[in-house]
Amino acid sequence: MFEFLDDFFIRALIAGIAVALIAGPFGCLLAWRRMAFMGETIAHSSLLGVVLGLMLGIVPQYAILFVAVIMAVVLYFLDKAKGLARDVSLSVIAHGALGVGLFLISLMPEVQVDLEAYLFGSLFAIDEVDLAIIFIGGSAIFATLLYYWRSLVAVTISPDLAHAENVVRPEAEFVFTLMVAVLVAITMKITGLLLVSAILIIPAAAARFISKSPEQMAVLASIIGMTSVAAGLYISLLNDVAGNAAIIVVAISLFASCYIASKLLFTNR
Amino acid sequence: MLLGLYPATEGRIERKAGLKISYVPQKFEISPFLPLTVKRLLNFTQKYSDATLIEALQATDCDHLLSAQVKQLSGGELQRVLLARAMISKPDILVLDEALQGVDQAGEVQLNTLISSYSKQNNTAILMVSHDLHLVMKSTDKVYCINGHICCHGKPEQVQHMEEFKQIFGSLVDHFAVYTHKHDHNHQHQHQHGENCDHEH
Repeated sequence: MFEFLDDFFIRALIAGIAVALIAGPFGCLLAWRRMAFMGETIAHSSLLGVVLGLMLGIVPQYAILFVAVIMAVVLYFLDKAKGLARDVSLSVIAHGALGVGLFLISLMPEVQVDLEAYLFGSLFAIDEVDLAIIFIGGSAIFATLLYYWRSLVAVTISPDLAHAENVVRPEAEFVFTLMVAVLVAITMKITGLLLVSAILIIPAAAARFISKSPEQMAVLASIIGMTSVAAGLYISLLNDVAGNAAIIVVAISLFASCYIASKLLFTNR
Repeated sequence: MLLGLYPATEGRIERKAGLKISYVPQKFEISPFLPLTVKRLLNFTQKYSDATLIEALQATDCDHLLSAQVKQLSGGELQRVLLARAMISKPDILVLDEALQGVDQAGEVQLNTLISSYSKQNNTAILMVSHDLHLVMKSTDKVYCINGHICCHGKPEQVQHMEEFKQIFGSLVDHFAVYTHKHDHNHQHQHQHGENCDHEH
C-alpha cells in the first residue's frame, strides 16, 4: 500500500512539504517576537542528542527530540528569569550545547559521527522512522498551534493588553517553546543545523511583504515554504545538486520576488 | 495590580463580579514585522461589529484609520486608536497610563474633554497615571502623589498645599506652566487604591 514510499525522492518530498507547511506559522510567530534565532539555537543541541543517543543506545531521532525539548525548557526559564538578554541566553544555550556535544564525541574515538549530516541534514536519506516522527510530531504540534493561536497572537500584539483582558491561556508560552523544539527536531534531518532558520524564517519574511493580517501572513509563509520545497527538490533531481540548498535558493528567490512585488504594487505598506 | 498584571504584595484585592476594566498602556510597541490593521487591533481580544468599531473611532476622531496598518500610525494616532479601543467595552474603570503621550496640544485638550464627558455619561471611573501636573490639577477629582510610596493624596486643591507635595515639586507648585522633575516614580503603587472604587482619581 505504501510502496511509493520506497522511493527516496518521494519520501524527501513528503517530509519537506509537511515540515514547510508547519514551519510557516511558527516562522511568523518567531519573527514577530524577534526570536528568529531560537530555531537555530535548539538545532545546535541536536549533536548532543546524537551523542547521548549513542551513549545510551537510543534511536538518534528520539534522542535529538528529547534533548531539543530539554534545551527549550532551559531557554524558557532563562528567558523568564530575565537575568540575561534574550540574544545572550540564546547564544549561551546554542554554543554551550554544541561544545558539550563535541566534547563528548571526542571522548569516544571509536564512534564515527557524520558531522556533515548534522550540519547540512540528509534529506535524501529520510527513512520510515523519520517519516513517522514527522507525521505524528507534525500533526500534534499543528493541532496544538491551532488551539493556542489566539493566545499567541494576542501576546504578540500586546502582552499587557492581552493579560489585562484575560485572553491568554497561562500555559501558552511554555507550550509554544515546546512546540518549537519538536519542530526543530523534525526539521534537522531535512535542513541540517545551518539551514533550520532558513526554512523557518525566509518564507515568513517573504510573506510579510504581501500580507495584511497575521493569519494571511502565516498561510502565505506555508505556501511559500511548500513551493520552495517542491521546486527545490525538482531542481535537485534535474541537476543533481544538493536538495536542501536548492530549496533555500528557491525560497530566497521568492523572498526577493515578494519584496519587489510589494514595492511595485503597494507603495504604502 | 488593579489590572491583574502583578500580584498584590500585601493586603488583598476584591473585585465586584462582572467588573469591567479597560486599559490604555503607557508603552505599546507593535512588532514592525507584524501585519495588523486597526480593525484587528480593536478586535483582538473580543469581537465587535463594524458599526460599533466605527462609532468608537469616531469618538476619538480617527474613524478614517479603521483599515490602516497599525505600524503606519503616528504616535498620536495610535494613542487615539488605543483610547477608542479601551472605551468600546463600556468599562466600569478606565485606566489611562500616560495615555496622551504623543498627542498634539489641541488634540490633548480635545481628548481630555472627551474623557471627562465620557466618564460622566457612562458613570465610568477614570484612573489616570500622569506626569503632567497641569492636567492632573485641572481635570481630576482626587490625586495620589506617588514617589516610591503614596506620599500624599486628596483633592487637587488640598494636595497642592500639602507639605509632602511641596517638598517634591518645590517652588514649581506656584507656577505650573513649565516644570521638570526627576523623582522616583513607581506606577505599580498607584493601583493599590483602585479596587472597586467609583470615585475618580
